[in-house]
Amino acid sequence: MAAPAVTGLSDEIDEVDLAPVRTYWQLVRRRFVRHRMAVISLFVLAVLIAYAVLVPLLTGDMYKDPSLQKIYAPPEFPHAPLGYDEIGQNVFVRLAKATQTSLIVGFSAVIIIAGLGSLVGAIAGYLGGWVDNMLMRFVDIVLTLPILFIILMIVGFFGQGNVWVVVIAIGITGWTLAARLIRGEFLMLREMDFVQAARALGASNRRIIFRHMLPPATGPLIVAAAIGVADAVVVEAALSFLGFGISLPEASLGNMLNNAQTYFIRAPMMVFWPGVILVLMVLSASFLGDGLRDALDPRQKIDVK
Amino acid sequence: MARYMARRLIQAIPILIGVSVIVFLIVYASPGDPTDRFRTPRVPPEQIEALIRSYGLDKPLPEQYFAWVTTFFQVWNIEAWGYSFVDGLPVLEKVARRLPPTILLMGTALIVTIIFAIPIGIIAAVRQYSWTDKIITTTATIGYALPSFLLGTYVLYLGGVLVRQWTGGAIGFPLFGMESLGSRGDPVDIAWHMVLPVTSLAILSIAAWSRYTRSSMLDVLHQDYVRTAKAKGLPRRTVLYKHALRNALIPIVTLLGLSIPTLIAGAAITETIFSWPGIGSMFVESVGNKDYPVIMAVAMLSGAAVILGNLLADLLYGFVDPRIKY
Amino acid sequence: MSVQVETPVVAGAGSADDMVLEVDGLRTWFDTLDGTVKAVDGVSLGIRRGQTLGVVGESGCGKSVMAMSVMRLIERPGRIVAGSARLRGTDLLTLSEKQMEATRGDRIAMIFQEPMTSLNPVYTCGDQISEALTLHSSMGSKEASRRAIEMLARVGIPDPKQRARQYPHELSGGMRQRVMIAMALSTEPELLIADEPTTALDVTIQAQILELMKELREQNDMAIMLITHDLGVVAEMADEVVVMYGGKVVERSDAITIYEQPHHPYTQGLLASIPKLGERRRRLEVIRGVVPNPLNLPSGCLFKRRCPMAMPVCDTPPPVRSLGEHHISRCWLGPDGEPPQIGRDAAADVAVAAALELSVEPPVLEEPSASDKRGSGS
Repeated sequence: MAAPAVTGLSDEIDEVDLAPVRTYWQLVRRRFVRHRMAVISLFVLAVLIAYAVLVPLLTGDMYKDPSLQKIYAPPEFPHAPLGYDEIGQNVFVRLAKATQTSLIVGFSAVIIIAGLGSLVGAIAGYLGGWVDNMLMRFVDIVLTLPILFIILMIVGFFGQGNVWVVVIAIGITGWTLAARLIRGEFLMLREMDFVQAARALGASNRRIIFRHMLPPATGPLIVAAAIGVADAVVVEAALSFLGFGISLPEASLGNMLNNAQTYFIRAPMMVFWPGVILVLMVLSASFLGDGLRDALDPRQKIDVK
Repeated sequence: MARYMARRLIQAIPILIGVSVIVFLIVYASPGDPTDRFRTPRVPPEQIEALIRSYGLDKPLPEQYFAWVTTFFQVWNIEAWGYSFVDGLPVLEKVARRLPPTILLMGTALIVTIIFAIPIGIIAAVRQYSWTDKIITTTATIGYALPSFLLGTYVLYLGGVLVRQWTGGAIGFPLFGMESLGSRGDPVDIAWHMVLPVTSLAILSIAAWSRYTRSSMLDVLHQDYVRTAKAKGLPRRTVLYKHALRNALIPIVTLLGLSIPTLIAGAAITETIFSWPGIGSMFVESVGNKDYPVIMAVAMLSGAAVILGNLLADLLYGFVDPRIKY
Repeated sequence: MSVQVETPVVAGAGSADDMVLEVDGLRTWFDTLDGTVKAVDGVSLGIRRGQTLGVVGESGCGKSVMAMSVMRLIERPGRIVAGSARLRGTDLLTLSEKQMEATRGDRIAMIFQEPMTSLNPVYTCGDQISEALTLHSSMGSKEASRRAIEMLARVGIPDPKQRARQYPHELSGGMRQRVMIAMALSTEPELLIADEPTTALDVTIQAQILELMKELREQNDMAIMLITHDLGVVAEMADEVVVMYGGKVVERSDAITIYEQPHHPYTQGLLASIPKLGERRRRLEVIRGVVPNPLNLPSGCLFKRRCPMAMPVCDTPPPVRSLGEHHISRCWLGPDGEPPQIGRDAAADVAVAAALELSVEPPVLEEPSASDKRGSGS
């Protein structure tokens, strides 16, 4: 050989060869910012949340104040830019309250969904064996249930018009997807070296689950949650639309739509505004979900333009 | 094949029993009962007691459950599903009357969907990143985000109200129902009534299915065998429509089978908006009336539809994919 | 010092019309959001009729991208930036898509690493072989399926009639690779590109497939480009070897020279990392470090951070040294592995480095020693 043999196994790996080192969250942010629609969606959601929080805060109970002098009155600026409805309620204020209701239902339901889903999924995925088998059969049964029908029944029988019954109905029927997701992650993580190492070091099951397995599984959970919010908002609106969810005079996008349907020859814009808010919420949640999924996936390094 | 199906059906039994228990518990453990609406000072309490006894609502829950579940499967018996609390008709008969309109509506919507969605999805996938693709994907994403009741309301307003206004009343799609008064079973009349509900159902499912088709096609286009087909020198068209599409349709066909039960449940909202006399709108009415036997029957039926849909999906899968043998 | 434009160097005698494929200065780049990945960056090589060229390198060195570029199967975000690939004189890279379709699968065929997934699962093996035949010849479908069965028999598949009617999933990996070979060879191509054809297979099956390829090469008198990371496979098959690293050819020679007198430290490292039979048991050598990030390549020699011989001069792109009639190496080391004498050659080195920065194709440093011919260069 013309040159001395290459040196033996080297324990140093050339750090310089690698791309500039960034932390996980820096990478996530970088990838997320690239997702233009997700960034726009985040902005839209922020505006909607501000609208849903601030306007009701400033106007109090005005959203259910009828005024017989103002039936179908045209917009007045700046305090009633969307005009008045069939009993003279300020549509802009009412819409803000309805958006608030939707967001409360959406976020609360997702907390239940994520909590129940990760609990069941973590237990099934971590313990495996017959526990996993039993839980997954139960998931199968819940998946076989006609979900919309079940929610209708729960809401119809246990408390028509009550926001929290709606939230619970959506929550306890909607956790299966999250459970499957977390279970899948856990089944994978369980075999990973760092979990095996933690177990070998004598860490307790609870410590392994909470310290070592839940954090890496949060990515998929966040994505599922973003989509879950959109689903919950739509289900609540549908229930209220059918007359089972939030009832008048309380405000919900669904009952505003249902109500407007009766009057839409006289005031078509009243069908329009709740729909716009609803579509904006659903669309931005789903784009946000897309963006987060791409951003949180640590395997994705080089993106195609 | 027959053995596989038999095994699948047997496996379905515990799931169906689980579904029946959950449905039963929700219905019967809820506060209040169907006699609530008779509890006015003008109705003597003894009569209400008698009504409760005749419904069997005074018996312990497990007994009620067994009585219900054992008769439920005797579908040849007109009394098997009990009688409606509201109009006293046999539930089996009510369901039998309401099922065909739902199947007609959903079947038509499904066919319209397939005709449009699959070609749209293929075009978008084949021209990935092009303007055509961007327009299709954006439209589909928005369509997918539209809640069905919102779309139904808008379609109703556009087709039923605005079109009538614009054409001076010459063209106006019917706003509700399946047929005009006095025209029993006239196909043209029924078709006319179907235009708006089918449109609103189809818009949503075209959005969803064109997305599935696109992503399935894109998946396949990155497969090694597509590269092999290209390396053989096959023209692009052959690569796309012979090698890729055939494989891309496998998950689509399976999903179609799986979606059939959702079509039935999903119809509830559209049927309610257009007052379509189907099974979904009947369910919504029954929940409002606490008509327990009808609710139970429809809920069980949709559970069974899910299981049958899964089975159908498996069968279709075995049919389109030579790798699957039962 | 003489600086001349590199021409493909090929081993063995024979006239120029024996040349089946000549690749010259090929560059294929991928545009990603993080920057441009120069997957293939100025590769030149040539293959003669009846010969096998082994293309060797770690995964990610650009060997597969190079092959796909020759097939014109590079897809977005990849693009062929420069260079030519002449099949018997016709530049494939300038053909229209229609002409290329007629060439692909007829005059050049390709087989891939993944026999398990490279066949379409929904069509029978026979159909997939006869498809190319009906496309590229005037054969009718009956004749094509007869020929497909014949081809299956030729690649050593027992009971070919039965096999032709089967779907790919009904065959083992080795059998599927045979079907792929039958498919590729059915049109009697002039060039077969085999991209890691045996990597996914068991060792015994590997040997069978390689033997089969050798036999068929002789029968058909075709050229083979054999892409692999396995120097053992190359030793078995190749007449000539090209070693790639970071999208560039770092060493090229006939197979025997590569094994007996490797010049480039990377080639030496690759050779040292394969176990040899009959050698006293010792620790296997390993090339330290990992392939550099394609988005963050080191300046100068791409191998310098992993190279045991690295010197300060390696910060400047190395010249392509001609070490013999068929042997070139992209390294600063002298012909016998000695460090360059910087003092004496400093001016020349800087000139070479400057030329390298500018030119599309790096110049060749003529040996013997550049100082002898100083001033006579181009």
